[in-house]
Amino acid sequence: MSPIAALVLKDLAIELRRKETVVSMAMFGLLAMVIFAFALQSASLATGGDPLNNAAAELWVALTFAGVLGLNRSLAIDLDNDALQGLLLAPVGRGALYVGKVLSNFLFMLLAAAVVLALFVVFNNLLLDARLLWVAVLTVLGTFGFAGVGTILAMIAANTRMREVMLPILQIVLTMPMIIAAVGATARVLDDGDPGTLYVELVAAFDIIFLVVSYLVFEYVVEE
Amino acid sequence: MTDAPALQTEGVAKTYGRFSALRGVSMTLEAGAFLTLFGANGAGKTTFLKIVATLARPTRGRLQVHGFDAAERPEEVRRRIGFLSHNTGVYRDLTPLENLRFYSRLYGRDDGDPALEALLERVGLEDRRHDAVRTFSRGLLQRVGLARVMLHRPALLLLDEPHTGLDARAVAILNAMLDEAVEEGRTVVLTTHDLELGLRAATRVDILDRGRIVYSGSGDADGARAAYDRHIRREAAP
Amino acid sequence: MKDRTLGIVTLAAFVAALYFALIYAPTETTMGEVQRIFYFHVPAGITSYVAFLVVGVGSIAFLATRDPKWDRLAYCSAEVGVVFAGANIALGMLWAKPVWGIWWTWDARLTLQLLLALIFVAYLMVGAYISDASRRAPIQAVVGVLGAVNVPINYLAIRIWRTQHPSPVIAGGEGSGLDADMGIALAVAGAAVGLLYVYLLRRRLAVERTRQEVEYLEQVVTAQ
Repeated sequence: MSPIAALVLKDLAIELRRKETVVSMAMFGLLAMVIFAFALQSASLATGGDPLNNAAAELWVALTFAGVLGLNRSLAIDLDNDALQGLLLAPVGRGALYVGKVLSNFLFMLLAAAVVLALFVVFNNLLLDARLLWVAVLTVLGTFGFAGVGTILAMIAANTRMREVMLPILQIVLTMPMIIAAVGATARVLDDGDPGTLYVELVAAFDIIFLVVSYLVFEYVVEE
Repeated sequence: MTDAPALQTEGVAKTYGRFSALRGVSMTLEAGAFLTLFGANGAGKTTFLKIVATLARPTRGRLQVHGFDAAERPEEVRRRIGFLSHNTGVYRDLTPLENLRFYSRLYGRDDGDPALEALLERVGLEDRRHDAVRTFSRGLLQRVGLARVMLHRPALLLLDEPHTGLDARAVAILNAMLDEAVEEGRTVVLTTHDLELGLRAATRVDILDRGRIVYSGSGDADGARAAYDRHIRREAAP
Repeated sequence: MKDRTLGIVTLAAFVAALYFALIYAPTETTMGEVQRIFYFHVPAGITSYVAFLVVGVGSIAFLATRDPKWDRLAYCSAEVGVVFAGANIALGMLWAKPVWGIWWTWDARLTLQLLLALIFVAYLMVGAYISDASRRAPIQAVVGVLGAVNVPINYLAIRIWRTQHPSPVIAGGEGSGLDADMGIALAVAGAAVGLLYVYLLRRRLAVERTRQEVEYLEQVVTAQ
């Protein structure tokens, strides 16, 4: 079995036992979406705008906050009892440790995103059509970008005195271009069914660039 | 095991900013040796072991483990070392057996459960192999850590104060496994504050003081005791 | 050049720049006197880009060589760069209020500058919140690299998003062009702001070297 598969299976086994990360992420994402919807619905009821205009924003705010929460929880698995040192001692490249954790985080986030997305469809009375397929594709792409850069940022934040604060700060600041593009694409899809090639390309480019750069520099974050 | 020395370091130094934790450590350790490294707190023992274990990167100097350069072939080095400190590196949400299964895969070994259970038996955990590690005492935890370290049958064992906080049973198991490792021709580097535990099986004794090796002698107990008194007692080690 | 000499030269350059910007340059026809902010607003923005570029280069050089001087250069330049970016944004607001009638708009260039400032403030926070001195430098350098990589992606995302800001007057395509006297004033003010960056960076580096020396001496003394 490849080391990366072993790492992902280990995270899955622990998550199945504790059921903390995915459940808390889904709940938090749901609440973020609800509070954001309340705030925007009140605003648009007062001013008479179309609530669907804000749907894309609701979705991505929910995914962003749920993602940040999940990254912290997921890394805690390895930081508990400093099990991370055991990983660093294994004859596995630092890059493989990074990729393994990215895949675990991606998987956890996808599960939570599926819940958030399902409720998003219901709350906004969306039809199950091609538009929804695009929203799902964008969610997968965006979630992968979150996991890619978020995995290294969680490790960076874990080295600071203010882990719970630094991760959201770093994650939100550094994923900003992707959020801009993802919200833009989602809003356009919901509007006329076309996400806009440039936006989708930008999200994909973000995913690839940050995966590669993080893979290359991960060793500097874990070595003394 | 190859003809190359188990461990060879040349001028290994580690500075933090301008503070030197290690000021150039050069040593050659033949395969099968049992080196005990004494030193007061802050002398650089842990830093040295972490560098050999490739957890920390030396600021200057080179080191080889069984002929593999740590900077160029870190994975080959890691394959040959087992490092145990106060930190056991095991997952508390998994059982001892699951921990070993995971690490076995990570080392690319894929040992079957019988082999892993045999290993757990050697550290006296056969009855608790299905209990979550979370419920374990310090001594039990360290025994799981010991099993993890021995899992891939490392040629070079690095043990950083492994006796700290252990009960008598765990100390006995640890010592028995060390003796067995020596019989099998493995090399051991041990650091400890306890003079008697350190001298018990040593074939060589080195003393680190402020980042330098200030004494290097055979496992001859009297010489080592005198050197220990000279270099460390005055610092009133705990 | 000695820092004292450089300081005097910078001061002289600022006096000259004030003369050229406030008196020598002609008054802009549509925007009036307030347009004179331009002579400091634009150089401050460009200088902040240069400062952030230095952070990226210094971070990569540090990871490659592990020479602490690159680490110092990177985070000292980030501090100065954030100050210049802040000055650029503040001056822009003072200019925008009378001309556009608003302090702020989510225009491409404004948003990009805000995000850049936020990225490097987050970079500085990471450095400040890592207690373990041996881990700080490589981890902060990794954030520097991730932040620098983010800059062009942010630029693209925002570019696709929207543009309201006046296009660059120099080499900005059709219809752009600067009165010759205005060009001279901009060059002089640009030189003064550039000198100020170099001066501040050098002073900051000197302070940092001294601080590290004191820290080292403290360790030597307490180790006795």
